[in-house]
Amino acid sequence: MATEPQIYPSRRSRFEIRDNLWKWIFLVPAVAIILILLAVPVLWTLYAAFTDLHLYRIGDFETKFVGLANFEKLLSNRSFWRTARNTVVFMLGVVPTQLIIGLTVALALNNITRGQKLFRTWFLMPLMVSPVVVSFIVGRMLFQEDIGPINDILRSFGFDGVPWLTSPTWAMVALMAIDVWQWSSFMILMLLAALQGVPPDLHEAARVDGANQLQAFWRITVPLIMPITMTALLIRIIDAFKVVEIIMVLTGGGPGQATESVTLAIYRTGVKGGDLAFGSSQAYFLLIVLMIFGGAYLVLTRRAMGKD
Amino acid sequence: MESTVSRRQFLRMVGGAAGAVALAACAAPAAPAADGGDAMSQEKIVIRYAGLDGMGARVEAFMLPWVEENGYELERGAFGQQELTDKIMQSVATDTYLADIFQFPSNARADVINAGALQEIPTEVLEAIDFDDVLPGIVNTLSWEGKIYALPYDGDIHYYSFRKDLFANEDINSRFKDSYGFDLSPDTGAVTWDQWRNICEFFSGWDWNENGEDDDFGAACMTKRGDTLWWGFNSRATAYAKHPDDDAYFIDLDTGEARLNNPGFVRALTEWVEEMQNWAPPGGTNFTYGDSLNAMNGGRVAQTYNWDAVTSATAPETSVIQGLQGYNILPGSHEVFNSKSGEWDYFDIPSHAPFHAFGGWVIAVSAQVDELAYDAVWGFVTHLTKPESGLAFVTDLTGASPYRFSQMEAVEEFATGPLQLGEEVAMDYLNAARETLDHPNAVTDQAFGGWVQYRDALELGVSKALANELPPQDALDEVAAAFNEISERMGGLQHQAELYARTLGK
Repeated sequence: MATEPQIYPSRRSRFEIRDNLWKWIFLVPAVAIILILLAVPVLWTLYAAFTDLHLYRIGDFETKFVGLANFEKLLSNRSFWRTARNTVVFMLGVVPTQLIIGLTVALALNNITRGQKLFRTWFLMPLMVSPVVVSFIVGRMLFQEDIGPINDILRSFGFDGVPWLTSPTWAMVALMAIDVWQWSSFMILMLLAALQGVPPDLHEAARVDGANQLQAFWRITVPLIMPITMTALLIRIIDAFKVVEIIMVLTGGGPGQATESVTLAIYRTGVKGGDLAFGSSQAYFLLIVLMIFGGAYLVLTRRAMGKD
Repeated sequence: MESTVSRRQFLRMVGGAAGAVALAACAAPAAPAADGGDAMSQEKIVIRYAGLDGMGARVEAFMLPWVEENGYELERGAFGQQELTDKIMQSVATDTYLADIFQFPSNARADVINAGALQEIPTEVLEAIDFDDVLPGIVNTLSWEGKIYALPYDGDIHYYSFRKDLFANEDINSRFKDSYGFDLSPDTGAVTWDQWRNICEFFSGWDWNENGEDDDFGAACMTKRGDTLWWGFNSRATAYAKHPDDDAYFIDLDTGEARLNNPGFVRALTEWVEEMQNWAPPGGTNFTYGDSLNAMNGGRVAQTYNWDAVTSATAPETSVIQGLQGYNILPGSHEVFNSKSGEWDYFDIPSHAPFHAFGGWVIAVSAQVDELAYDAVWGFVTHLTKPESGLAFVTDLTGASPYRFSQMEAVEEFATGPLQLGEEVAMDYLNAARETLDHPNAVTDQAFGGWVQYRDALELGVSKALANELPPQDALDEVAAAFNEISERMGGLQHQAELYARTLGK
């Protein structure tokens, strides 16, 4: 049995080492900067969560280590749990709606032969607008209860105006409507891309084998678009958990606390109020919840898709 | 012959170039020019100013001729209202440079001054701007422990404004008197909050603005959480909760305990909820400051209170009530809750407790002022706040309100100047301003440190009551508990009580 000359692997190895060395020389600064930018705030926030650090305390006060006091306060804080409930309700309201709209429109767009590019661009437009602008124009102006056009139209048909921003339920509906308007486009584009990646031959083969359209959709299309769908869903769920801009502009978290999200509460406590300790504990709580949720979601989806 | 560069060679070249650039950047600065020219002395002195977007633009336009005449340059940082306060508070807390001069809300003074972020105002500057001419209520917002740290720019207070034309209408008045037993006064408007409520009820639900639409209401107030609810509610509550024999309003000066859930505050909130739910335009329980102004200037409500009710009503593009408004000090009350005795006290003449809502924007010089710009900066603020400049600002559509004794006498400038108020309105306006700023029972806005947190706690509780999520008493119990908790975190109830006393000039 022939053996390769000994010299070749060792020369190749030196070559690889030098090549890798240069790669590392150029990679390390960038990686280090990213790690520092990521690690320092994360670790500093962790430190703050275990202290009584406050930006605006007046006088000679030393920042003290308080153990788990901030987390204990968090767990017994009704106000925080209200914001957590609001956030979950918001997420459950917007993400499934966006998925349904996204899938429906993407399927329709995938089947049209003319004007697809035009519609694709058209649907991209809401994503290009800042959420603050969307909240102000779509939200505060359209949903204005007194002189807003939606209530004006309702009144012209003899209905009562809807208390869009002063009823806890309707305020949440208004926020969801704005988010759905803006982010359904994201779902449409992601799912359209997924649908266009499904090979047409598979559908032809299924038709030859006697499958009807519904069967072909469930057995071929859905499994093939599932990875992108799951990724898009995960992105939207995480985004929905972090919602803040539209709430700040449209309702300010009100009426009462009916629409205040966890992220808005963190901003108010830590950034505006200067209570970095309690704000950090809230931020860590959200981070841990999202990490557990994201991890579980990925494991379950992989398992589900593996079974398919 | 074709010359090629391998990937590795290319990377080496790029790496070498990057290294050379990095070394050059780290090298010591070049020595001064051999001809003796000092580069620094030839640099223009730059004055850096951080202020509100709109107000700052006015300041820039006003100050540019002075800046150019003196050979300086002006760099202006423009921020939204909340953004500016946040920026200043964060720069103060983290000891970072924001600007040489900044405009800041006077109720952040405890936070800003205590952090050592401001220069004390030199005596020469105070003399140059005739500081004795500034009303005592405003001097308090510029001071800390007897020293002056800021200069006046704006005497922000809430003015009660009402539709003088409607109140003077004989037919309307006779119907009103039949229902409530007293005359509508076109000179004073509502003198007590009880009268305000009667007026709210009377002017709701019939077409007094004669436009054929169902859009006529009694009042509009700022009620949106995260906007200006803090000031909207406190202006409504002071007459019931601030006793003339007691300096304190927000917290007890002896114990530091919050007073926000005492019967005075509860009565104010109970009435306010009823007024905003029944006698305000749709959405009235979530109105921004702008929404409430628009309702008044759009001729859809009969009365309101606001900072800019006077000046905004003069703008023809946004107001249909030019010259139709009357102005007065905020209404008072015959009954005032006495926190010390725990009883309601009755006053034959209504007790007023006008709220110095917000207290106004002030101008201050940073402790981190650029050394090169030191003299220029003091020259700038002196020119900006001297009496002639002040008068120019408060008599124009700048958003600044009067704050000097001399401005209170300048009826002619307000009547015929850029605001074009007319003599009658100008006199109403200036009388209301002077009476509020000079009132012995006026309430100084919260300024004892951590005001953003206290504000958020109160706004949360009050907005819960406005949305019927909680009854007023329960909502204010939550607010009081939150106040006490914040005080504990800020250093203790006693510590906050001491700071509160200092903000009151005690």
